[in-house]
Amino acid sequence: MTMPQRTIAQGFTDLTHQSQQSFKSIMDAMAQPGKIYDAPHKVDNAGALNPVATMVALTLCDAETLIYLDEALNSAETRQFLAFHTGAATTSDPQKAQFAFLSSAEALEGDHAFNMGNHEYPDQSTTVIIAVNDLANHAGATLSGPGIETSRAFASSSLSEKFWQQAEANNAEYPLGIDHIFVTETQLAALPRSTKINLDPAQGE
Amino acid sequence: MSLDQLTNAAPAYNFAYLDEQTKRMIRRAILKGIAVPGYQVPFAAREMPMPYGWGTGGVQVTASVLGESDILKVIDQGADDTTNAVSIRNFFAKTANVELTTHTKEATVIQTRHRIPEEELQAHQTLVYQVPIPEPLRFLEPRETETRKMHALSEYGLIHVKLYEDIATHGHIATTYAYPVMVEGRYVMDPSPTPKFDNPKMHKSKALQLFGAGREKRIYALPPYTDVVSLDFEDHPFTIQEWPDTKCAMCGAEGVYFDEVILDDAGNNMFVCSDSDYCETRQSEGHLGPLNADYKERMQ
Repeated sequence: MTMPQRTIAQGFTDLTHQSQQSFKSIMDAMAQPGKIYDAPHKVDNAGALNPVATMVALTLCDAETLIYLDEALNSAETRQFLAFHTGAATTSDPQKAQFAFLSSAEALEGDHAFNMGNHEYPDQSTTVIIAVNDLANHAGATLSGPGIETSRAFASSSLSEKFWQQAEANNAEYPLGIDHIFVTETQLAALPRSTKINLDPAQGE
Repeated sequence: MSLDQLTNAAPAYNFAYLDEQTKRMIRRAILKGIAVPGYQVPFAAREMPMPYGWGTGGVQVTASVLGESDILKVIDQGADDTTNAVSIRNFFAKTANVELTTHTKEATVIQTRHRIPEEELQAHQTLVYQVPIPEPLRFLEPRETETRKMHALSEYGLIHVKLYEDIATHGHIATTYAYPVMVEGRYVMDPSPTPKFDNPKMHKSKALQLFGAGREKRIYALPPYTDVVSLDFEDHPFTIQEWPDTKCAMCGAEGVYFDEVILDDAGNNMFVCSDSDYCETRQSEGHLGPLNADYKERMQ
């Protein structure tokens, strides 16, 4: 019997410093919601994951975390890449996942099944990494709250109104909730649960 | 310290001492802390090559955020030259080989034991606090299971009673350090044992603030521009320490946090800036206090 030969793509070339630089960009993004950062490292060919999502996975995931992959990302190649470089196992149960990688925000529209944490341990929630086509600091939603001086406009053509309604509901559950990291092919931005969302009143009326 | 020591990181250690798996675990906790400002995230604090109480929590947080291009400043009660600050600075010089500074303006990461620099911090800076007891309710309720429930329910009556008892006993709120704060109207947080003088600087700070408690195994955070309000009563509003008619004996500064220094057996004293960099910078700019050696010369 012959096994199909598959080469696992390279991860970080300098684990220590590339992890640190990547973490710094993720930390800054989480601390300043909606602000768009250029990803310091882009890691190609990790199955269906985009290069910035892969950077996030290599920076934050290891044998202590369970990863959820949506259908489009859940290929043998992705799983092998993650298992080889991070040692993290994947799960099909969104409640058990510390990190969820999604190919689109669709899985979050309406009621979703990811872990919101609990009142005694709100930190036991899922962090969701969502691939989007673009990120922009204009129109769309107006963000405010911790990390934002007054307000910040934030939009992506990949985020539907249904997603934003879910995100508003997510914030209403604060301190419970999921934290979002949006990733394009080159950039990232974050939307933690603490961020208040004001949808453009023109759209609402 | 010789130049040789400063430039040669010990090769046996991973960058910044901690192994990568530990850093990842701490980094995940930091992200949760930032997402829920003021909430204490449990983390698996490691044994560090220094005793508890010497800032093992702050050191672990600093080690996890520090990069090659960072410039590190470490202060202990505002001073760069006290034992704790010097040994932590040496620790990172040896294990991370990062650039060190005593100037607040130049630093990108500042680790502190109980003071916030007088110089306003900027958006590109990160302030890391060493925290002994992260739980503001601990001395009122020793059981972790109970304090956790109190935070979950936002049940903070007890801490107001504590402040009220201060007023009943002393006529004013007598808490002067580790003065409890309310973060974003949700979590009561221990600002670490900083003097309450520094509490207003935490409110809507431009810099990211991270708190690490090593023995108690907790990390918490304040993102920039977070609401941090010191608890008080309408008829007993929060006030900070004041030293009326006092100037720094070395640099002549007013309205800063002072250290009192006893000068002789007769009880003569002087007040000097607790922030040594602030004081030295002012002196180098030509500001002199009355006990400064150059002062008399200037006056003649």
